[in-house]
Amino acid sequence: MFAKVLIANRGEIAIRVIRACRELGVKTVAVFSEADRQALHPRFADEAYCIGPAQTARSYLNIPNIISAAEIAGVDAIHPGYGFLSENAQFADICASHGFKFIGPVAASLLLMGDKSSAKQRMADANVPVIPGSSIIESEQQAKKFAREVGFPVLIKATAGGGGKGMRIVGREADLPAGLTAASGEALAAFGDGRVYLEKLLIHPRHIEVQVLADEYGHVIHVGERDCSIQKPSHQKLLEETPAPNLASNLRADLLASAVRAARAVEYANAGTLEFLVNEDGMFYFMEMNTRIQVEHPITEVVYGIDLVKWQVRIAAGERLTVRQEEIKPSGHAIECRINAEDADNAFRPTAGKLGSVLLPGGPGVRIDTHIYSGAEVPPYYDSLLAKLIAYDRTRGDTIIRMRRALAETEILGVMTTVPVHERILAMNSFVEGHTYVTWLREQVLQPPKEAVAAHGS
Amino acid sequence: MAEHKKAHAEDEPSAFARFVRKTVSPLSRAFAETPLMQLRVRTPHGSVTLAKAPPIDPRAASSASAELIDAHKSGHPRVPLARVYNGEAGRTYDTINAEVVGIFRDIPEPPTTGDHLEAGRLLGHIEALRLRNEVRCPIACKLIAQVVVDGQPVDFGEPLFVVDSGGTPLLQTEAETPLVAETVEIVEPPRL
Repeated sequence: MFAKVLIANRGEIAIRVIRACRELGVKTVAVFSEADRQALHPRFADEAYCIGPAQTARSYLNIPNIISAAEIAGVDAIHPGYGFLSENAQFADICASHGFKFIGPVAASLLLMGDKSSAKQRMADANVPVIPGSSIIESEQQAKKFAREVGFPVLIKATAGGGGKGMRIVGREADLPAGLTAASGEALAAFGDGRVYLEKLLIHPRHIEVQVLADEYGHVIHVGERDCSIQKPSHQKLLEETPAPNLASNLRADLLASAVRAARAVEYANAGTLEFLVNEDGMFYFMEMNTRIQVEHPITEVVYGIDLVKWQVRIAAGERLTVRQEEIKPSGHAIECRINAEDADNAFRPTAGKLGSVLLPGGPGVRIDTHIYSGAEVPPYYDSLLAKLIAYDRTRGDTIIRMRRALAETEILGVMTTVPVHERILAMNSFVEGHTYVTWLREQVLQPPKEAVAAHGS
Repeated sequence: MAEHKKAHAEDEPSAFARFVRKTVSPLSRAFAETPLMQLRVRTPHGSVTLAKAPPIDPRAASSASAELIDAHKSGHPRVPLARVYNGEAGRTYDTINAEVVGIFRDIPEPPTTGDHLEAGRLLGHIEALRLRNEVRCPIACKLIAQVVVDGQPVDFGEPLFVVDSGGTPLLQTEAETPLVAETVEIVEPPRL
């Protein structure tokens, strides 16, 4: 086991890693920016080094200062947390060349999964379904053939694409020629490149991801799935739960098996997550692999009774993953609400400032992962996540009731938070019934059609 | 006489003991060499104020206004260096701070207290990743004190030298940059 680990991150995840290390008997080194002098992570760690000014490019992304702090502190390994340098293959390489173990997969895995098209190709090669896409469309006939194979609706996309330009949804074959002409013309005008291709369009898909753990000796297990369909219009997750509601058992088994197969195919080591879109018709498609610990990892931890961050450290230290797949059994249900400093009624615009009173919930079945406290400063420079509120209980229904209770106990003054929008989500009948999808929040909660707002369920 | 708290728990790496070992001890050694009477340094772990007992000097004691007393002339044994700063409440000096994280290294002929430093003068190095990063004087000023010792690890923003720039603010990043929301670059937040 390592003697000392540097945590190249801030906020709640830095504290989460410090806690795991402390329980493993590993000394911790925090790094912080000048805006985080009063933050908790430097206080909780055994040592702390200021690595730069507030701007992330000069502090939390400042590789020379982070490596220099690691050398001065004499650490064995560096945990990157999530975001920042966590999926930066160059950083992983630099860590290795300075003799620090990067607590995560090897740089090659980061590179492979960081490139979406190469990742998709590798997944397809491993018999993991990917969203069907055509080659560049040369003729109407070719487009029709592809669309018939995958079924309508299809999405026309520009190869040079971006910002929705050159994109068209085509619902039936008769509209295909006109759609191709329009999309190609638009793409040509916008990018000077009129080439387009087709992709199967998923209607109201759910985002379901699978947690995997793999050691450096080829032992791979999954630790269940998480439903992360409640997303902001920016596709950032807001609420996650496990197990996924209304997921047919054969579909779940397929998903989990595919994730393990995928991780094996790329000889993955450490904790990782395979994200899938699950269509209304019960088909699922690989979207991307996150080669790091996820924000929403605690729901998996409380339902499966496994400490993912400790396993990350152990695996990186060369330990064997001693958990067998048969031992991985879910017990109960868990929901995570991300409490962000954001104004949900104003496009989730981040808010910053000095916090007033902070009262966090507790009691049975409630876990809080946070770095805030009364009077803490919320700098405008970083991610707006304030706290992760996790509720767990025997059944999904009980967990929803518990989460409503925990949200009601939560008081964070001084900034706008996402607590009210979570209360609205948990009051929706379609949420309680488990009928959500990736655009559900935008369509049903933020801009609800007239009759869709259910009476408060509690 | 430097007044500072002593670490009681050397074997127990409490935050306080680390603070004393890492910050207060080197600082107080450097402080003892300077003519400063009081030095307040903010560090990531808290701030420390070092103070010397005032020289028993009737001129200093009777001096109501702020003035510098020539220590050589007063001949006070506890104040070996050129000048004694005698008060002036609220007066602050500039500091030259570390721009990188690394190990501070003296140059062969380090500047000494009281030196008039021309802009661009080399004052020391910070070794990081086997590179020597020069610490240069950003502006013409007078050296009041070097507050790090050779071989001491330094953080970003840690004060290395206390200087008197005669009221001209140094053109360098202040340790306590106010958090101005307007300067924040709006970027697409990552999906985590």
